[in-house]
Amino acid sequence: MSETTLGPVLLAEDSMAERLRLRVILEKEGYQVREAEDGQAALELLREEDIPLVVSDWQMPRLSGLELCRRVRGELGRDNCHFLMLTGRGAREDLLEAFAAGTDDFLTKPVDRDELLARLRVGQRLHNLQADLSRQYQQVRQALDSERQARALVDADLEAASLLQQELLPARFMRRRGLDLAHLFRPAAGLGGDMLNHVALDEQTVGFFLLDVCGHGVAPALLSFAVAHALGEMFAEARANGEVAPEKLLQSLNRRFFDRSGNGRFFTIVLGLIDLGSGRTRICQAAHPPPLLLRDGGAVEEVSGGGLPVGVFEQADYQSTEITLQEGELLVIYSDGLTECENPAGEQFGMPRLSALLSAQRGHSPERLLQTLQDSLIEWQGGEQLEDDLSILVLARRPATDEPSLELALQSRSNEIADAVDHLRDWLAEQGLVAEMAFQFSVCLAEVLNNIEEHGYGEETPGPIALLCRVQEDAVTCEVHDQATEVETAPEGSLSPGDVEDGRGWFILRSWMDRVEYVPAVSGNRLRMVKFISADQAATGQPGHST
Amino acid sequence: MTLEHRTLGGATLVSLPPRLVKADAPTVRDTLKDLIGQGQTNLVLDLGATDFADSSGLSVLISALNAAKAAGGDVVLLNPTQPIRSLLELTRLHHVFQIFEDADAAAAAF
Repeated sequence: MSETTLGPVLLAEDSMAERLRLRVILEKEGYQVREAEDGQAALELLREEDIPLVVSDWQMPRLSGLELCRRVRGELGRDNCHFLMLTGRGAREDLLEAFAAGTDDFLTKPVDRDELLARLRVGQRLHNLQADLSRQYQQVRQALDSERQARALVDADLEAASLLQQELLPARFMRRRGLDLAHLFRPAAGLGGDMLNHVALDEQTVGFFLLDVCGHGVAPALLSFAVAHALGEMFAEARANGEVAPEKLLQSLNRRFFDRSGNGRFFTIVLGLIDLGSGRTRICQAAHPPPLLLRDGGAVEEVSGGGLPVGVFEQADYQSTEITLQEGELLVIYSDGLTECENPAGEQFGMPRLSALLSAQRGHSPERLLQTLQDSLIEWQGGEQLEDDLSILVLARRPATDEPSLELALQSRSNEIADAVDHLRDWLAEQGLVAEMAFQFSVCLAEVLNNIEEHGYGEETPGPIALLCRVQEDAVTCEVHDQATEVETAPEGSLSPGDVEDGRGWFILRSWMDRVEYVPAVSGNRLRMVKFISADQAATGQPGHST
Repeated sequence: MTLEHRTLGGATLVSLPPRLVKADAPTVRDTLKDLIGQGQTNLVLDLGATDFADSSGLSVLISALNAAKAAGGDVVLLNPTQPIRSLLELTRLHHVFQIFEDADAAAAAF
């Protein structure tokens, strides 16, 4: 703010003599002066130029000082103009009316030189102050805007990283020889510090891990990427060298990720190897919540043992625990987001509740179990958005006697598709599935196959489709493979009943299937659809069904 | 495949096949369009024998409805089986078509 910036001043006065007198006073003081002989002329001048100070007579022809003031505030929107009214009137009502019109100050006629200059100095100071404030406000606005833009860039990066994280995960459901693997992965804030994976080391052995880096957001996520990558290499090395011991892997992981910076960067992990033939499983843990073993009879056992978190101490020893996963038994590995999930009253979900829930899920498929866990947790928490990262990995050893299955291979032609669907309908009926489920499942398969014919290969250029359908105790599943170009999935729930085409097939599919997973790939697209069998729809045990 | 059809009051009753999927759609669509083209614009489609359909099959029904309406007529559905009814309801087509249990009531709808 500077007191040396003066004026200009607009002088609105219909008496030429008075105008001249005031002009001389102001110019001597260093003000530039604009003159108007009435209110209307003053308004025109103000319209042209942003004049900070106005000295105006009250009574003038064409437009009075009062009306001029109203228009300056209203029509011209000049709130930052100091309006000094000259008046011979002293009535209180008049003053109030002038204030209401937006007048800042008054000066009684005849105008005293010193008083005029003193009041104008005040006006000037107020004007400068307001101008400074306005400038500062603009600067803050600009800073905020650029901050917002920067934030949007960061958000876009985070989303890209979150997608990358999803891509590092294995397929949500994978069937290996005698072993089903399924997982649930829900980062709390888009990008989590959890990571999990499982890889086949050889024909006989599958390695698996689930880790939880402390904290959420970018830094923990980056560390989880790095660890997952390192473990991938370690598994590959171990595969090349033959025998692998989980505790050795953890020790070398700890050496590699020991936090020399002392930033408190560490993670907990469960790492294990399972022999597909015998179910012999060696598990090593680093301060992670203990995996749970769901025995065939419904008993739930904690797999204890292990050592310190990885990255805290330069020297850390780990011990493996050996268990045998029998046919029909499940191993559940999870991050603490599961047991420590709090309800609105602040009570944690806790181990006893988890054990009871698992026990009640005995005999269910891993996918069904994960669904139940997620539903229970959301219900417990009372809202969709999880507060902590949540990841769960389930290993289920299948009984030796496999479920009934139907394999079909066909070309994407309408008549072959119709035959395949007819075949499936007959087969599902043979399995004793209730009619409604068999119907819904068959319609959905027809939709999937039609879609591949129309949009995948194109109707003019048919190609091969292979499908494998299974009836399990609690679910019917079908996997469909094709070599077509990627098939776009329609947005969920889109449906306009009166249209001849568009979206109806996908709508039916999404409505009637409990799960639809679509994995497009150059090597071949895979669609997997699942319909759960509820207890009251359980198969009736007709020939062909193995319950 | 030819579709049986007969006159029923002021309408034409067409018996739809047991299976109404994409492979069956062209024949059924052509038959219905021919009927409408011959001036039989009020159609009662009998779904009593149809126990399986997919969305391509449903689109045949909608095509017929649109064609009939364009010619000043209408299409109603007769006696759908339970699974077909569930499919019609899921896709909200029960709001698009009048559905009857009884042939005479269907014929009286025009």
